[in-house]
Amino acid sequence: MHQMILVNPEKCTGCGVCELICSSTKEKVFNPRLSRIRVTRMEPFVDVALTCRFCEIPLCVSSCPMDALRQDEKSGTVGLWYNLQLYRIPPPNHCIGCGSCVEHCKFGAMRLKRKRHPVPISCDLCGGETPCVKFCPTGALELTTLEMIAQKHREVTAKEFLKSLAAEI
Amino acid sequence: MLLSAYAGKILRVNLTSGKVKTIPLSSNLVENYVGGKGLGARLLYDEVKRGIDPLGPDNKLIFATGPASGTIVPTKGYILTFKSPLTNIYASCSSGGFVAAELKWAGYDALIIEGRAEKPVYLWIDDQHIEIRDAKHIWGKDTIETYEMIIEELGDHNIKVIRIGPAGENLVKIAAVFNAFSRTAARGGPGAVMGSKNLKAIAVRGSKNIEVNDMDGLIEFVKDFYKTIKASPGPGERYPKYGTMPGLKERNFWGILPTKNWQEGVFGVDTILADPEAIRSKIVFKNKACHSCVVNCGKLSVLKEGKYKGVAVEGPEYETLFALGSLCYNSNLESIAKLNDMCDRLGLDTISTGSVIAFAMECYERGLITKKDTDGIELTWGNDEAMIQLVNKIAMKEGFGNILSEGVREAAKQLGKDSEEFAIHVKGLELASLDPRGLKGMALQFAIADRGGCHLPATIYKDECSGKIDRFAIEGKAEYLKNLTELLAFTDTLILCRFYRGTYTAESLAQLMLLLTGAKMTENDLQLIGERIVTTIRAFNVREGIRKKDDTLPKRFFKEVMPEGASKDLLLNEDEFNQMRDEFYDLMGWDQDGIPTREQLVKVGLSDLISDMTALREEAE
Repeated sequence: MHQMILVNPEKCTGCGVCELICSSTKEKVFNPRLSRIRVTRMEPFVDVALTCRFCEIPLCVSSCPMDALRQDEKSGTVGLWYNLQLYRIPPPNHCIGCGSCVEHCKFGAMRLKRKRHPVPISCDLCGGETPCVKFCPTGALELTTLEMIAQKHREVTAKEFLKSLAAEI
Repeated sequence: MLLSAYAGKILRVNLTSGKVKTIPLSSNLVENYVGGKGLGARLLYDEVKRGIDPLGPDNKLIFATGPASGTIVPTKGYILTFKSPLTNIYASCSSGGFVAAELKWAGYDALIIEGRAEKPVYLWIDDQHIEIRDAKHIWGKDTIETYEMIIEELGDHNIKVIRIGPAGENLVKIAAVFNAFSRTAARGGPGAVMGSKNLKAIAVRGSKNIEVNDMDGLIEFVKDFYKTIKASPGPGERYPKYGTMPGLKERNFWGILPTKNWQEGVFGVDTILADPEAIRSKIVFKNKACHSCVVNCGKLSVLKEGKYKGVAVEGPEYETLFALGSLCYNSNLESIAKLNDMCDRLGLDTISTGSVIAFAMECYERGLITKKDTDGIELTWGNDEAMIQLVNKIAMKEGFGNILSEGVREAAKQLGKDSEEFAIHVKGLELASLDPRGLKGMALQFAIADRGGCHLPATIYKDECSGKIDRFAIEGKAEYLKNLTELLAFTDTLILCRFYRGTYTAESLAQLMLLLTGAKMTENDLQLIGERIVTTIRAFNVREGIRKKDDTLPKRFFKEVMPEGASKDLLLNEDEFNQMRDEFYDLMGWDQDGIPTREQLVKVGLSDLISDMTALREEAE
């Protein structure tokens, strides 16, 4: 079961700290447009930070017309099949910057970094370090698995059940 | 070479000619003024000539960011500097939200708006693409509608929008400038200045990187900073939970909560207003934060029932609870939230709006005005429905609202008949929410604050209320105020929020400057920069005619005692007040008229202002 970063929208204030710690960790600059996690603010009620969920059927990968993206089986992270730094010119089946992966992701978690060559970027959990989770001022972000979330829901429902039983007795 | 963390450019937009220019940020300005308030103050002194009409094309709006803007350091947004139409002197407002970071990412440290567009326009800044766009279809819309229409039109929810409401368009002198949902640069009428330029809004989107001098060091610094914040009672606990709402309870405790237009000092002790926990559980929906802020003091409130059902507003903040509550003797929380929402949508400063209404209510109570003057509105204390009618009239400049839209000083002039006695302001700016009869340091603060009756330059009330310094003492207050004002003026260059006060020291600020920009500074350097900023602003005000006679307080505080509460029977003593003020002048290096001396100007490195100040002194003689 893949781990992923999930947000509690009731706690998220939209401050953008996660974006800044992400871009500083990954790119050594402050720029939310280079962040792997993005905050969506829809005034006044909605603040949510969204990032990659490591889908089982990753539309970003399957929609790539160049077949340039791969999903790591163990961690679920998505990236180019090649390491651009090892090539003087991009290899065959390279990213052409069409943005199809960005278009198809339902969570807006895929982004294109445009430098000398385009590179799709998305969350890789920083090897489990997840500074965004650590820096989140309100504890709105959590590194978890779907199984853990389901268990939480089960516990809440079970307690409700217990309460109503107790009330009847 | 320019330092790290700066964008290195100032964007200048002339609305008369439609010309847009990018000018380099000079290293001289950065060294002497850092950014934010300092940058704005110097640009205003250099570019806005003496005696110009604040609502004419010669006035400028200077939006300045600081070296910390757009980084992970918890900041407070931008500082907006201009000549105030309400006071006719210097004014600067600080406002949270996200737009300062966005402006920095777009590649600008500051934005200067000058001239006047022929017809309503809005400005669109998308990195280096700058466009002055038609705003005919948005003119007349409220601040929320304006925000929604612009992000819809430009097609991106991430765009940040600075804008005014109908009050600013109508040149109401207490009109505010908005950004985010309802973060405001409010005091002194910046909305009217923007309206006078026919500028409805400024939309900003940026995509550039901000590089700092030492990224790893900065992240470590921020980690420690978070720990200090979490451990301190204000930003660590009180603001995240209740925002500024507990202010009312605390001011009641000291008997300094301005009530009934500054006639009393205790209000609503048994009502929900004095119970932040109850307010929170009754109306607060969720917390909101400004960019990169860990305090999340913003409280989004929703009214789910009652007369004003459906209102959603960020607030009410303490200053609003006081101005539209106790000052007008209104204890109806829902009505305060409704009035807050109206002010936000129409684009009004809640403090000044509450103050003009309270002033009118006292005039009504004393029979100086009757229903004939108020367009038939029964202006009795605490009449929330009358207040709602009046807020609309002020924003639209209708009937009686037209008089009140000028602020209390001008309204009292127009009404005459001794109404001036009840117009509580300093230099034309309605006072913020602390009765100076119970806090001697605040008396001096209000009298000498750069933009008029403001509590923010040193926030000395915090130390007077907490008992850190004796609230009744006269001795030492001037020096305490001076040191604090200078240190906080420095934090306004970075730009740090006032709510972080107490979590940093001069030493840690110097370290932060080094990590961000690479500039090596000592604690003395910080203090000197602060002093330079205060002196520059004073010089601007002196050039606009401010002298010792203006550094005073409304007569009420010297004549009428507080009737009840913990400050009962207190009033200000004229001799004591003069003693504090004279001492402050000495420490600041201002002469007996309040003009900075030659020695002072040399000391803070402002020799270029000597000729101006000498000429003004000779003029007076």
